[in-house]
Amino acid sequence: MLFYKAWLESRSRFFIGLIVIAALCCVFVLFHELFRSRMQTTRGTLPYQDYIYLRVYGGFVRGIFLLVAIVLGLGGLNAERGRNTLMFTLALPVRRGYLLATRAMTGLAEVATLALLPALLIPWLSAGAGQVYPAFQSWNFFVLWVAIGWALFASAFLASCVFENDYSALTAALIAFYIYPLAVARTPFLRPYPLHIHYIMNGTGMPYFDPQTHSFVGPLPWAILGGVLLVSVALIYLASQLPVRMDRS
Amino acid sequence: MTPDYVIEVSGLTKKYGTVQAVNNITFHVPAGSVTGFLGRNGAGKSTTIKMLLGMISPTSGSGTMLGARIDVAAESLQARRRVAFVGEDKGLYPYMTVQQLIRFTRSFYRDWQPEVEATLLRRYALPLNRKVRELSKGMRTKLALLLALARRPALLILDEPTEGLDPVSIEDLLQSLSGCTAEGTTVFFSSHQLSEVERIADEILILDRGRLAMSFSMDQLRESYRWVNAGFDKQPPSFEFKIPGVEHSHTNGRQVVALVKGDADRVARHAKDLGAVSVEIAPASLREIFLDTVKDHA
Repeated sequence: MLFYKAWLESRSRFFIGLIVIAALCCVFVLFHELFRSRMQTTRGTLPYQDYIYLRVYGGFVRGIFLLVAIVLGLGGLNAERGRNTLMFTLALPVRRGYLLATRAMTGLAEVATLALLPALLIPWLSAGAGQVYPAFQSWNFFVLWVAIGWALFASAFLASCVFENDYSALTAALIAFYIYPLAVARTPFLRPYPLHIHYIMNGTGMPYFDPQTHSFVGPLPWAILGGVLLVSVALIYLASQLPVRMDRS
Repeated sequence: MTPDYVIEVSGLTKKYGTVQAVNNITFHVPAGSVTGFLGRNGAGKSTTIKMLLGMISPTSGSGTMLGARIDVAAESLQARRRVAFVGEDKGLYPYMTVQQLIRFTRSFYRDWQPEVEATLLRRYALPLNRKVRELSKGMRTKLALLLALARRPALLILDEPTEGLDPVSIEDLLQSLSGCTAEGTTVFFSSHQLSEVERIADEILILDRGRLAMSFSMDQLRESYRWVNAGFDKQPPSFEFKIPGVEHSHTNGRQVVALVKGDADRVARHAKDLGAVSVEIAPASLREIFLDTVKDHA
C-alpha cells in the first residue's frame, strides 16, 4: 500500500508530464509540414528524421521530460512535514528505508513510462502522418532518456531529503541541472570524458551518434549508462541515510 | 503475557543543540491505565512522545514501550505494530478518501478488527467517499480514532487529542477513550485540558520545562494530596516548610501555602509550632496542583 500512497502523491505531476509530452509529440509529428517549412536548410526542406531530433529527442520535448523527471523527484517525508502528515507516516510499522524505497521505485517507474511515450508515439504517429521514423532510433533514445531521467530524478530525490520544503529542493535540483553540465563543459580536464549528461542523452559529440544525419551509428554506451545508473542509485541511497528533520517541541 | 508497565523510561533526555527539550525524565505507565501527560506548551510532551514512537532518538537515557527498546529501530518497529498514535493536528493524508485511508492503514496491521471498523464507522457517521481534506477537524479526529481503535492496540498514544474540537466532539472522544481500557488498551495522552484529564485519567505525569515535575495517581490525589494554608502575624519562614511530605510551598504575604502528600495534619502541627495563627487544610484538585507545580518551577 505504500506504493499506492506514493502513486497518489505523485500522480498529478506524472499525468501533467504525460499529457504535455504526449501532446507535444502529437503536435510536432502531425503538424510537421508546417514546422518543417519554417526550418529550411541549404539543402532544402529539413529531412523528417532531423526534424524529429531537433524538436523531440534533442530539443524542446527532451527539456520538458527532464524538468518533469526533476519535479517527480520532489516530495517525500520533508514535504509531509509541511502537510502535517509526517507523524502519521512515521508511526506506521514500516522502516524509513522502505518508505523511501517505495517512493523512489514509484518515481523511477514514472520516469521510465514518460521516456517510453515518445518511443511508442513517434514511430506510430509518423506512420499516420505518412512519414517514417525508425523504431530502433526511438528505442535507443528511450534507453538514454531513462538513464539520464533517472539521474535527474535521483538528484531531485536527494534534494527533497536535504531541504525542508519543495521550493528549496526544486531550486537546488534546477541549479544542479544547469550548473553541472556547464561545469563539465568549462573544466578542461573533465572535457575529454563523457560526463556531460545532456550530451550523453542527445548524442552530441558522442561516437555512437552521427550529428549530420541525427541517427545512431554505433552501439549504445552501456558502460557510461551503467555509471550513470550507479550514480543514481548512490544518490538515492545517500538520501535514505539522511535523518528526517523533526519539529522541535 | 502483558507486562506490568507498557512504558518505562529512565533518564530520558533530548537535546537540540543547546536547547534541552527533555531533561532526564524517569517514569512508567501501568498496563491498563489511562495516563494523562500534562505540561505547558514547550514542556517536552511531544518530544517525549516522538522518542517513544522511535521518530527521534534520545540524546541519552533509555526506555521501553511494550517491552521493546525505543532506541533500537527493529524493536521500535515491532512495538509500533501494537501501538496506535493520534497526533495533535490529526495529520492524515488529505488526498485520500476516508475509504482509501482506512484500506491503506488496515494493510499494515494483521490484527485489524473489521467489526470494530464497521461499528465506529456507523457511530462516527464518517462519509466513506469524501476526501480527508474536506473533513472538519472533528471528523478528522474521529477518523484518526477509528484508524487507531480498529486495531485494538495494546497502547494508544494521543497528543493533545481534544485540541480544536467542539464540546460534542470532545465528549465523544472522552467516551471512546474511557471505553478503551475495557478492551485491554492502555491510554497515554497529553493534554492541556485539565478537566478532561481529571475525568478519565488514572495516572498523572506533569512535565515542566523538560523535567518531570510530578507523578501521581488520581487515587493518590484524592486521598493524599492536601493544601495546608498557614497564616502568620509576621513574615513567615517559608524555608521551614521544606520538610518530608511537602511537595512544594510558596509564600503569599503572611501566608504559606504548602502542597502536602500524606499526613497533612503533621504539617499543620509543624506550622503551629512555627507560630502560625491560623491553619487550614483543604483538598487539592488537579487544576490547582498543575498550576502550582508549573508556577513553582517557573
